[in-house]
Amino acid sequence: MSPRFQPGARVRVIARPRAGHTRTPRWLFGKEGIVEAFHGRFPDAEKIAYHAYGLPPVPLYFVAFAPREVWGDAMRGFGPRDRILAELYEHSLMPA
Amino acid sequence: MSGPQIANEYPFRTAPHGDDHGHAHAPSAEDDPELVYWERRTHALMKLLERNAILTPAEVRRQIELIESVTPMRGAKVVARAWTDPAYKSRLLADARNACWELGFDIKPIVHLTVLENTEQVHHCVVCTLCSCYPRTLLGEPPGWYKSTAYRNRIVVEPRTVLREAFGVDVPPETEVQVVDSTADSRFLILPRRPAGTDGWAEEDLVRLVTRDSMVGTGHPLPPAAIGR
Repeated sequence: MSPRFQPGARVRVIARPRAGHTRTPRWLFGKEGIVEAFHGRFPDAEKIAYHAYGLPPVPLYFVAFAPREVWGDAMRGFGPRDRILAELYEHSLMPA
Repeated sequence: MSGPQIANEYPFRTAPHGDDHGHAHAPSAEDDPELVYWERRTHALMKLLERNAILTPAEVRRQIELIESVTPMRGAKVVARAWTDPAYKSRLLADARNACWELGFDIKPIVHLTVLENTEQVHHCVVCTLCSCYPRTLLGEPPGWYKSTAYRNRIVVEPRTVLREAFGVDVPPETEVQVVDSTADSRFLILPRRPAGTDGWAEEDLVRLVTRDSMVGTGHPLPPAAIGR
């Protein structure tokens, strides 16, 4: 089963992907980015936090964001081509 | 469920501070009621584990010794090898975990490792905004500033300012800054740029130029003059 998103795909971070513990940073909720790489499948840390095994493993993506997309007019201390990258689970991403 | 963890309270004191002792003494749950909540809780858990023969203080000490035995030297050796051996560098960038294994480092605790190369075009720096994820198996324990809310908050908001003002790292405007938040299973090691004037140097001399901060992205390696060459 191939990963849902390919490098270069435009994705949007789902706001509040799950109730309870999430490793998706709040400041990326709803932001649009581009998939940089697929990092593989790993046990779901968000379920392990509740003492489950977190299996089957879930796909993890390295996603790049433009600072203006994330911080808007509050953007400062960034150059025009700088980027913010984060590792995000497939279940916290949707096609943009 | 209820309790301080769910309510997101962070009790620092469980009892009002009484008289000033005016002297320091070793904190212990039995005779120092001013110990903060989490210290007392940790102490109580330790006592229970010990009393029920699940864990001994010697085992805890041994684990601390193992954790503290890891220094940034491991990461520095990886960097020095990549600087001197182009084929190794390719392997490192393609499959960092196995490349570290090649050098004999027990990389098992790191589930996924990505090495990010700093170049004239791009400067990476690493943070964990959620907690303090850090490639401990290669760099040892992270420094206090890495774990501080100040760094974790500010580096993703104004990286160039933080790098310049807090770390003295001035990234030129033509160079991209990429701030990497290690939010999940990956750990990131920065491969810093090889200092000028080190052509033909042996690995064991190059290792001495690789600083911990240069492998996190908040510093540069030392110049040859720093080791008197």
